[in-house]
Amino acid sequence: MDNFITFDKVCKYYQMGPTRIAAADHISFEIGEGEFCVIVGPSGAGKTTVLNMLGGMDTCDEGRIMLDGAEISGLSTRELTRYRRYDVGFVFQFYNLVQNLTALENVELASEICREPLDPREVLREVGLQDRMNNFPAQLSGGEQQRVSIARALCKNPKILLCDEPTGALDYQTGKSVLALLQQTCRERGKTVVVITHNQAITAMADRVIHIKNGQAEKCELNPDPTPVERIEW
Amino acid sequence: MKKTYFKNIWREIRGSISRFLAIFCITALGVGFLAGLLSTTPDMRYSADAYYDNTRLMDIRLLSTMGFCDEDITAVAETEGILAAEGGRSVDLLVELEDGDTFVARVHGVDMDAQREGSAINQVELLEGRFPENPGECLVLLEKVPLSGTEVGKSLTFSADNADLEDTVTETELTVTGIVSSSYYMSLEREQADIGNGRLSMILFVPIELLNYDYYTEIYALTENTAQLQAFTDEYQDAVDIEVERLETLAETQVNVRRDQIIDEAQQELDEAREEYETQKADAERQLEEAWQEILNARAELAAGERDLSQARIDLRDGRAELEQRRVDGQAQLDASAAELEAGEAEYQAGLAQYEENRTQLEAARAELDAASEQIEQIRVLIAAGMPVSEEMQAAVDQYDASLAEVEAGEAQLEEARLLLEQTRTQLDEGQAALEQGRIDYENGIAEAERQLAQAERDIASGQAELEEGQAQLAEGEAEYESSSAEVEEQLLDAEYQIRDAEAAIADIETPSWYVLTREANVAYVSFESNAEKVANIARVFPFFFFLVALLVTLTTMTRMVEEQRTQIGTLKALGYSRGAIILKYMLYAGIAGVLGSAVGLAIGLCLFPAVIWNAYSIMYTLPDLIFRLNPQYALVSSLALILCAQGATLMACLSSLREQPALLMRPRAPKAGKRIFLEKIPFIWRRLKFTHKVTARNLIRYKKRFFMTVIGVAGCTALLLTGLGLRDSINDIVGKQFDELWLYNATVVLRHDGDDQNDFRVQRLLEGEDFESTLAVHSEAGHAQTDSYRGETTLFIPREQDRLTDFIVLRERVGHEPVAFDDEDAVVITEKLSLRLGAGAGDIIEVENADGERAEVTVTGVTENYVQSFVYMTAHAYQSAFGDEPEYTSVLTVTTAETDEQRDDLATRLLSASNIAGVQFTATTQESFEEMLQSINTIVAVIIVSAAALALVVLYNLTNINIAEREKELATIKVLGFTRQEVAAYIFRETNILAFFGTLCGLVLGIYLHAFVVQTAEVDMVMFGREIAPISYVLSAVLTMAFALLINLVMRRSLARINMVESLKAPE
Repeated sequence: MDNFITFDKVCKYYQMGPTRIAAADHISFEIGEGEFCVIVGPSGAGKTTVLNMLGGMDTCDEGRIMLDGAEISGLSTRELTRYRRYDVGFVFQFYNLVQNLTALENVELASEICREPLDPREVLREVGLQDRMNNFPAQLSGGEQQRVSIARALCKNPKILLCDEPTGALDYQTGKSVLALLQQTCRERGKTVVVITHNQAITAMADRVIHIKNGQAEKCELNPDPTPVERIEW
Repeated sequence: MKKTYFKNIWREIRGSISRFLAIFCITALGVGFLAGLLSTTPDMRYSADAYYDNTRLMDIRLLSTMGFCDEDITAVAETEGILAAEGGRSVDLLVELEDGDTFVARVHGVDMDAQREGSAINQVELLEGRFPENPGECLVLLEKVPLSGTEVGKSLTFSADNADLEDTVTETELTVTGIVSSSYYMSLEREQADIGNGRLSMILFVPIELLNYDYYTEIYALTENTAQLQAFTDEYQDAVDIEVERLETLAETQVNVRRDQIIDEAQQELDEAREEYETQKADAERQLEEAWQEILNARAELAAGERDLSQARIDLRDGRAELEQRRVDGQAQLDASAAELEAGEAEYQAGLAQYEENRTQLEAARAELDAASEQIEQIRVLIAAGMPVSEEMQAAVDQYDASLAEVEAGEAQLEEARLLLEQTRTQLDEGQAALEQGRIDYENGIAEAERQLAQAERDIASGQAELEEGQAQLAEGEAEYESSSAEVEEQLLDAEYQIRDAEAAIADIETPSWYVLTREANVAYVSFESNAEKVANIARVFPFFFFLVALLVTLTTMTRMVEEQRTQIGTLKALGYSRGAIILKYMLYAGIAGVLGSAVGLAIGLCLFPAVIWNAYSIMYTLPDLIFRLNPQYALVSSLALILCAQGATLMACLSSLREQPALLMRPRAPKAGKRIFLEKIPFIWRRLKFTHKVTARNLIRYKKRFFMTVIGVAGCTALLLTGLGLRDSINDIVGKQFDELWLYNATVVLRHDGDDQNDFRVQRLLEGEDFESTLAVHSEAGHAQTDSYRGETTLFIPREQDRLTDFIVLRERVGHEPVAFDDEDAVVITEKLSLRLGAGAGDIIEVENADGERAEVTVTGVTENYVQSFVYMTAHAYQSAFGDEPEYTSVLTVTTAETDEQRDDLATRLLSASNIAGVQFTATTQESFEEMLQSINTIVAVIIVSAAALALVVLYNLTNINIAEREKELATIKVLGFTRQEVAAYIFRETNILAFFGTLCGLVLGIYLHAFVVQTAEVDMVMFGREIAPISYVLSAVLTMAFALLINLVMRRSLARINMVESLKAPE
């Protein structure tokens, strides 16, 4: 199943004054179901544009985006919302937890709106926060917060898990443990995980690495033998 | 400062245009409202003052108990500080229009020439037509609703029903030549007239000569020092008061001039009267004298007649006696004559018999002789033949001769005797005839005498009758004389008394009293002043609250902005910008918004509010155009206050941010820790809440600042709305409550005792007639009530029948409507407003003062609901024990059957035609004028409500805006999580709505207090506004606020939709 996610010549333009800048310039790639995919590229290469479009936060101007056989490009705002709601789990660089909700409640915030959510407590337990469920984000460390964020994305039982620089705001060790959690989730649950990062080192743990440069998918490589996170150094 | 720096500010403004606009709008609203309402009263006063100045409205009006003469006017004009003085005459007259309808008009005699030139005091403004040029022409004051038939060219007639019309006016037909307005009659309100139906329906201005008086009824004066002073101010009043004092001083001496004049006139009149009296008296006396003389003559005549009569009687009696005598004498005489005659007859018969015998003898002798004769003859012849005879024969011849001679002698003798006898016969016959004649004469004489006597008797009888008649006439004449003399005497005495009275009256002619009145006695002036004051009162409270809300919003907005931009502040600081420069940016931001907002707010507010309110008052007043003035103090104070406060808050916010190190500033601020809320401790509720509701609950309580700001802001708006609506209720309330619920009577009849019982009886008949269902005589007296803390005017009100007062006036507590007892012997019930002002309730002692200034302490036994004017209801006993005087029941409360205006007019006309009814006041009329007055307040209230609504919108918009801006990232995140638009909206608006709801609730509570405060501040002394707010107003203000909140939600949905989900990827600021 190579074509769980398909980007087919996707373009995204931004009008900057008189000039039109292509943030995505005919990007094409595919991701298979259950893969741990890392999209990597330098700042401004178009990673975030890809993420936005894949996450249903933005639409593409040209080309097609397919997920699990359904076309995402061309969806209406309302359909996009449904798409985000049921099909996408999003893990933010800055966790984006609602400060006013406990870890559990933050997860519930997402599970409340899903059709077949996982049990929030169970998910939190799985991410190793069984003892911190009733803590507020401010009482949690960054890694813990990111775990809550992951739990929040997971409990929606989405088709894909989209992670935007999940380690970006974390220290090395914590980052690694979060990545491990993501990898574990991918392996154990068979979830398609897409991690977007500028950190080349992470590519080693991916099943598939997509290099983005100048708004194009420069290279798409499969890694038949991903390195466990523990062994990755950066 | 660098260009980039200002560019930054400019960008900032453009970038956060909604925030900038929010500050701009709220500043504009706050400043505009505050400055606008604050300057309304000054503008109103200023405009009115300008109007007064332009029309030379008198500063002082003088009235005198006896009118004024020309010298008085001159004296007033020459008084120090008096610019000009002008005499005027005025009188209320019934005027008939062409269609025959009759109205009461106040006719002002004015100096038309001066009016035409525009130099008169109380100058009228000609709106239409021309000034009168002839005596029979007049000007009509423009009414709000002009009376049909008083247009230019129409003719008016002074009704013949007017008393002493000929003495009052020189012309009875007038032609309207112009319509005017007058600052003297600026207000719709009119004084009462005491003729016709008591309602002044028109004001006429006529040439002064038309009013046919030899004095002036009033003097109008302008003062010198007040031209520059503004009417309604204390300075003005003080300056006028100085003149009042001067004029009062002048009056002390000047009154004598008029007095002397009046005395002179009266004296002259009296002298004439006395002269007349003297003439008449002399005349009368002379006539009496003549009458007396006549009586005397008659008496003498009568006496003479009587004398004559008695003489006649005596004569009669004498006559009778004489007659009797004559009869006796005559009879006797006749008898004697008859006897004599008889004796004569007898003698005659005897003589005759003798004669006969003698004759027979003689004849025998003769015969013998004759027989012898032949023998003898023979002898003789023998003898003669000489034969001798025998001696025997001789002796026979001698014897014969002798016997012959003897017979011859006997025969002569017999002849003689026969002659004598014959003579005697004749004599006897004559005697008989004479006797016969005598008898006839006698009888005739007797008859004649008797006839004469009878005549005399008749004469006497008629004389007697005549005499008696004469006596009767005399008696009558005497009686007449007596009575007419008495009458004359009485009349004369009367006249003399009158003269003496007049003398006494002249002696008693009191020195006239002058009343020096200021504009404060002009109905229009006072009413306008109090209305302007009302606006000022409302302006004093309302906009401040408004202003505070605006201030709060600005503060929050600016604080929020500074907090939002801490990173930028940190960056600038790190870049080496000075604190001042950094602060300046925000100060400038707030400043520009504030200054622009203030400018726009002032521009609009200073024009709009005064204009709207002025316009509202033009329902009640004939107003000139409003003069807008920039009232620097209000404009500056309100805008500076708001701008400076915003600047201060910005400064504080900046300073607190700047205190931190740049590095710290640039780092995201430690997120505020979440907290469990108290609700969670009540699992009963918490478990039942939906998850999203829990989130809302937690969020609500977490962001306390936002919570309070929103609640306060919304509460403020709701409170303002509620106050506005409540104010309308309070005002509209009073009319209905006072006139429909509390005052059950619908007319007051004021009596004037003229001492004539018949008139009293007439009035009583009128009052007992079918026009009235019931009546209650009351004593109503203007007085004062006071305690240590307050002294105010009030009316002392004493019903004749204590137990019936409540049939006419409901005495009850405002809250709960419990009846207030008025059955105690010494019951004293005061009205609520008075009680509040006095700070005295039931059981407290207050001091009351009657119209004569006597004071007494009374114990209040109850406080009753009342909205219009203030009263002290006392029992007669309480009044008497307080002042010692009996109450005089000169007013009558009545429940009339008159329901329509026509019926009331008709009734009033009938009542006022009774000479001792001084006035009739229908509550319906009072109610109307109150409603008119309150109408204008309603406009102010509308202004307030609209402004409050605008404020509510701006506040809610701003708060929601801040709320959304503050939580943009959170919202972006939940959007990314797949929240639908509705869910996102609900997520945020549930909070906003709950906040708005709480705010509304608080606002309703706050509104009650604000309303109470505004009501107390805004109400004037004579009126108590309702304290209650109608339930609908609560509902309306709540619904309005919530509707605004929902409206804002709708508007803000769009900005929610605009939130870019990409925001969620950004680092926290």
